[in-house]
Amino acid sequence: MKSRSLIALTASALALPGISSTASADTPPTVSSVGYRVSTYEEDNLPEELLFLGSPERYDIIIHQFQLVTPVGENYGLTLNSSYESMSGASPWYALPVFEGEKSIVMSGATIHEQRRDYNLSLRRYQDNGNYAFTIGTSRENDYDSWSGGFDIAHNFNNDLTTIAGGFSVSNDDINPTDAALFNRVTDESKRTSSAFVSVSQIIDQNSLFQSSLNMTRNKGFLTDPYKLADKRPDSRTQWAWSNAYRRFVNSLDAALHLDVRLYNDDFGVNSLTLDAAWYQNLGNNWQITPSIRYYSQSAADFFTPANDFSLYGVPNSSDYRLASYGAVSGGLQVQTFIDDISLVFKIERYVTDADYSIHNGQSSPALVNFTRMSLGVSYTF
Amino acid sequence: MVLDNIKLTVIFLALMAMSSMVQAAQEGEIAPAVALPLLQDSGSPVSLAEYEGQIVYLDFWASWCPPCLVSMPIMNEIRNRLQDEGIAFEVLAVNVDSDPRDGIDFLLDSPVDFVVLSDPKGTSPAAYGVRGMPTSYLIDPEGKIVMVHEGFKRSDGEKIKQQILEMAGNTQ
Amino acid sequence: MKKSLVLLPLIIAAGLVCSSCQPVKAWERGTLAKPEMAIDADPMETTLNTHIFFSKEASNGGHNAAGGGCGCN
Repeated sequence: MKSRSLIALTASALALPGISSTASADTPPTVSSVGYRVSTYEEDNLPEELLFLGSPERYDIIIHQFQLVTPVGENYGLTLNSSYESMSGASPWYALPVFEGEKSIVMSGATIHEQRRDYNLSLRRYQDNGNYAFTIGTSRENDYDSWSGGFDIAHNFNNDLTTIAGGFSVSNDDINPTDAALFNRVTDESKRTSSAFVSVSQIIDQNSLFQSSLNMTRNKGFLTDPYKLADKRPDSRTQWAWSNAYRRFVNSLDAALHLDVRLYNDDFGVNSLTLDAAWYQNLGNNWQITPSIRYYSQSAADFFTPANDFSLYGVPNSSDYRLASYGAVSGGLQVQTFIDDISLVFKIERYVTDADYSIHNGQSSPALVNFTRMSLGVSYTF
Repeated sequence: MVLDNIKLTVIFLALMAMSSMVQAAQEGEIAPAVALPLLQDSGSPVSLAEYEGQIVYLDFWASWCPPCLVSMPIMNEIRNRLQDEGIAFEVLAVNVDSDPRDGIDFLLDSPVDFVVLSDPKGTSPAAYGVRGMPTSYLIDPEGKIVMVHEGFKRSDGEKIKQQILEMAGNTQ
Repeated sequence: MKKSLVLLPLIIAAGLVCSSCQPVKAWERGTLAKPEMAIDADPMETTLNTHIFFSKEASNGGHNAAGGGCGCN
């Protein structure tokens, strides 16, 4: 029976607050499970015709993820998540104002090698009509240190057909850019983030359910990218995201459909739309294949300019492509197999950006990124 | 027109609410009749009435319910131990998987010695007004419900065993 | 923001969806309990995706509260 190890991982592995499996929301994990996943992330090179100076090679990242879910006593579940990331490559340092078709991007110098480690611990208490959890986490890089903590709670009613959940978290980040003296960068800056959400989940019928969530995040402090020349951003940012998820099982095909829609808005002037669709196709009791597609479109930030305006001083300005108007389409394929208490998973995903894919306003950037991502994972229930 | 729609919606919602307030079989009441086929064997149906004179632990379970799966080996051990001590006691576990093969698959991995029945249509949990999975009913030799137990934690096994020993002590 | 204003889009969404809601009994939850029916069917994948999109796009926030930060955007 394949479902045993997955029941442990999904119904119980609620490391991300606010997500509740409405069918068995009130039971702590009954078995323990461990999972490991390794992923490669590779960005396409910057096209030669855009490169003014520097290396065209963009980021290559390897990420290792580890997860442990285990019952604690009869009423608690503990989840530990950890990841290690090793990163190399270059990113745009600044963009020169040029005529259309001329080389404009200056990439950062020699390729960097960086590492990031993060740890996250969550303890969830299960009760008759709901559950609540405390979560703490930390993320470390040689130039970035972050601590976070949060609380979330969920309550079921209406014969367990409806769940209301909410939570908040805060994080404190310390930023100490490398080579600060050499490149006249800031030192010892900090940023504080607080975030809160509310969500409603509703069982529609035996085969489908729906969840709507509203998420607000507020950042304060140093929000600028210290590695980009002449990049300056406001010192506060308020973000809103409204997400809706629909899940439907199609009995005749032994498959599940996932549809997700997210609308986003912030006071940098960025609006975005995200559409996700995935089809979880079971093949017998031991295999599952899941194709997925995603469409993303964002507007440009108010202070975005495709080329850096070095005459602006003390006023927000950025040529960071991530604040430009663009659209992205990605497609993925995941294959999963279950053997007794072990499950193996492989996923490949291709993400392509284009200014023309955007349905939003604003200028675009020539330095948009495409990437390919592959993941291989194994989980074991014991 | 709009008022009619509102009235219909209110009536509809009230009916919905009422349907969920079906009287659940409660402690002190006579246990509703049950006659179901065995999960792992074809043949004539087994009924609760056949176990008059015995203490019965009637349990509603499914392969997709983790606490149900925790309860099965624990109740199996208790049932065997009590029967060894000569107590007239049996477990009737009603599997409510809509596909009985899922229940059978679980038992192939973790077999039990007690009676397992199949009710994919859910007529018996409906008759008992089951509100959560798992729910079990401890029934005395006269067919009266002595205890209704929702959910299952590992330590519940001992409590249920003590309750059965008490009931057995009372009837002897 | 007023609490009602915050909950309003959620309640509207649930209301629109719920014109066809039926009470599902406790023993009828087998399909909903399938791992592929979870809102988050693969927490490790979601964590990775959230991190990648947080680093590469300007948007933030999904079905969960924010976690910690990283120097990646």
